[in-house]
Amino acid sequence: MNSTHQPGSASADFHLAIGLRDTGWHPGSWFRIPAAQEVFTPQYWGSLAQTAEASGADLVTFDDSLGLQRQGQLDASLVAAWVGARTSRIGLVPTLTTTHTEPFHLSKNIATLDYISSGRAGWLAEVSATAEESALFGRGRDDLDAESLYAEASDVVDVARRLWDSWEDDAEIRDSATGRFVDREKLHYIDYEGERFTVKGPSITPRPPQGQPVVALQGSGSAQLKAAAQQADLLFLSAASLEETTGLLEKVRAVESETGRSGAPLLVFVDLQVLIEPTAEAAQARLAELNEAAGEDNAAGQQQVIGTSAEVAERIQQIAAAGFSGVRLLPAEHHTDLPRIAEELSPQLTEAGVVVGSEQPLRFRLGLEAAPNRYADGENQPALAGGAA
Amino acid sequence: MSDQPRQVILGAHFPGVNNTTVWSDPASGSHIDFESFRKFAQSAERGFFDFLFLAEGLRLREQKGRIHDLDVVGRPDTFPVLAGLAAVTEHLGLAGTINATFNEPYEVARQFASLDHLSGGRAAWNVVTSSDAFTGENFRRGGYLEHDQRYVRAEEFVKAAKTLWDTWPDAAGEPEPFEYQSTQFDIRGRFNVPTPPQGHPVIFQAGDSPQGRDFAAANADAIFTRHSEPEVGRKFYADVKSRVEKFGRDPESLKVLPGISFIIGDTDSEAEEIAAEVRAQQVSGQTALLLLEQIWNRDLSSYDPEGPLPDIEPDTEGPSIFAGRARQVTDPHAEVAKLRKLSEEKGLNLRETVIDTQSRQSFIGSPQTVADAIIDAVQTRVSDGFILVPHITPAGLEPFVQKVVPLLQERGVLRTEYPEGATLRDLLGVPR
Ligand SMILES: Cc1cc2nc3c(=O)[nH]c(=O)nc-3n(C[C@H](O)[C@H](O)[C@H](O)COP(=O)(O)O)c2cc1C
Repeated sequence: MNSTHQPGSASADFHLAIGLRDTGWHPGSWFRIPAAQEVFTPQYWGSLAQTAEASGADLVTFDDSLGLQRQGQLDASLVAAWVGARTSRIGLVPTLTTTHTEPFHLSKNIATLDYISSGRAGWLAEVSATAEESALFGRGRDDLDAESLYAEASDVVDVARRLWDSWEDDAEIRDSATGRFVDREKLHYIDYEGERFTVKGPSITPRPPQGQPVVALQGSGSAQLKAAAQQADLLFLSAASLEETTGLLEKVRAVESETGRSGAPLLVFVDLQVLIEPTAEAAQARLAELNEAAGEDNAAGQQQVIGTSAEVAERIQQIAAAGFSGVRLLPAEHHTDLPRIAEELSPQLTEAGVVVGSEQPLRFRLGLEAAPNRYADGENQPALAGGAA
Repeated sequence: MSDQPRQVILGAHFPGVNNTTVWSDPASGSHIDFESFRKFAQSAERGFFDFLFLAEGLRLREQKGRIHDLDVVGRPDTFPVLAGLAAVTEHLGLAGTINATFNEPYEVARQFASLDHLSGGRAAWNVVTSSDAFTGENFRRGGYLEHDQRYVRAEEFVKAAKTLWDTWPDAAGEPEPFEYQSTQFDIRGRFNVPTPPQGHPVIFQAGDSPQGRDFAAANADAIFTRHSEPEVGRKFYADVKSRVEKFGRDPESLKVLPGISFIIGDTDSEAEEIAAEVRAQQVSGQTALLLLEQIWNRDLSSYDPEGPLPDIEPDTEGPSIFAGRARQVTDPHAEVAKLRKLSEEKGLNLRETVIDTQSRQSFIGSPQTVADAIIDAVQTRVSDGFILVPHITPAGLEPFVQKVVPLLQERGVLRTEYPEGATLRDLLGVPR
């Protein structure tokens, strides 16, 4: 751990995330890669994740959507699983949507990613808000307003979390004397009955190595903030300026107390789109090229730094000083900006004591406590569920 | 007939959640950790297998209203396991069992298309149709499907998936809009993954009813069956292939693949000894009672496994006492009579009787004996190959890979290297 950090600068419990989205966050990025098919190969994602891992980032998110956005995308949970078998340190947080997918499937999918990655799994829970997405499932839903969708998302995450706990960590006993493989007293029906659905349980998948993989939400509307306060560990906040984001942080804390959140406060990360060049002029020139390729300006709705890696580092220090838990860097173009994050920005952050980069399971890496199992009686609760063996 | 012998297709079934899988052996490892799947897959790939196969059940099995605790319990999720395996293997097909009742076509089509891209054309989907309300309790939509609708939905499901896979032939281009309407589905929009490398991932089916066989004959590239014994197998093979022709397809375009257990020893007699030991491990006293309860459909816990068979008659009227597993006995009275006769003739107690009937391995013998039996079965059209179900995780395939595979290669019925860049369809010889 770096002991050189100074008061007022980023502290060791500040975290670095990197967001991945097909070719990058600027819509022009798609038109500047050698071959469009590349994003449909695992090598592409493996190489991005390895660069992100080399940067020392704590986690990487994989954007996804059920509907067609831009130029198509592979299922993020499967990309993350592929990457999980090829990386060893970085947290893997795919987007999976809660509106049309069965909670039972979501829960075991993330649990399995946690097994594949030995405790590095997270879940960025999103909703499918469009009528077009409902039509993919033949569901004429008339409750596609943010209130309903996020209330449902909150229930779905709640169910997934219960299913993760539905096996106690020491349920598998392999007791030759009695011939029993499991102690069925340690398997639990969740018997969930909510407003929208019921789920019996237990999961078919044993409790994952982290016990409770890290759950994230993104957005800044009141419906998102409420769902995050109820069920998430981490929130990615998007707003156009640092002032605006700081205002939102106060709102997050207020919603936390309104919803009666118990346990650790939400880890709040700020989204920051970055385009990195050696000089400010070069950065502006590349931005112009990207805008032209896209045929539009980049209306990101996020904070941006179009400039040098030193400027990005400075902005990150400001974000840290404003009381946030971390930053999620959104590279304008994966090909160009991700290597620059790893090679140029990351050493500066390390020097400032921002990037810590341990190899712990993701929960611990983010400073979260070990997750107790709601179904277990007090005594037998290992520090890290199941071990990450 | 050409002098080229028929090639043997080999699948590797990851050990399942039933009493075939022995967990009490010191060599038995985790059934959940990814490391076990990696080792198992790499073992299959060293043996030039065509594919690895994962079964699936969406609710933990129960007997007498309680979770069944004597066998291996629990599985990781099929799709991420296969995606992870795509990263640590190069040639091996990756087949996953995915239920057509408790899933939706858009999602499953998208996951298999993604898996096919991530694996370079190695994905296969075993379409199963379990639709019981018991399993349905884990799903928000519940057990809403009538039993006789199961293959209606499955067929429409597969057709919908194929429609989606076809909408986007060129990854650099754009998808055509799709629309699919049927009795079960009414979906439309645009699919967001380009057409998979195989065009359509390989389709497996594993159901035995006439409807199941017809579904396979019309839609599948391979069928997974229990019928591995020569006589029964040949009959099943002929039946399925004639159904394929009835649907206007080339009989060679559907591969018949029975699941088999196996024990290999240095000699036949050594193999027989090991096989007997394994059977005893597979059927503890408690397991023997539970297996008989599935025939008797009664609580038999008061009987002594080392004593005689229960003297009461099976209950054919009451509701089934076990759930989460396909019913295996069609005529309980006949089955009970058979067991009593056997017990009497051989002087076997309850547990010994079960061991004697329930779990004799399909292939037992020296490497030469097993290789001969496999080659003979394939040449005489008992099957087009086999799906091997070892009893130990993850190393259970190794004796076969090390000792039988070289013999199959010598006889010219198994590849000695994987063709460069081959998809699973290429390996199986089932063009789209
Ligand atoms: C060899 C074999 C393996 C099967 N494996 C599975 C499985 O892994 N998961 C599952 O849900 N059903 C499985 N089944 C059940 C069938 O797919 C099918 O849903 C069931 O047998 C009902 O169809 P049927 O009436 O045509 O037999 C299997 C069936 C057979 C014969």
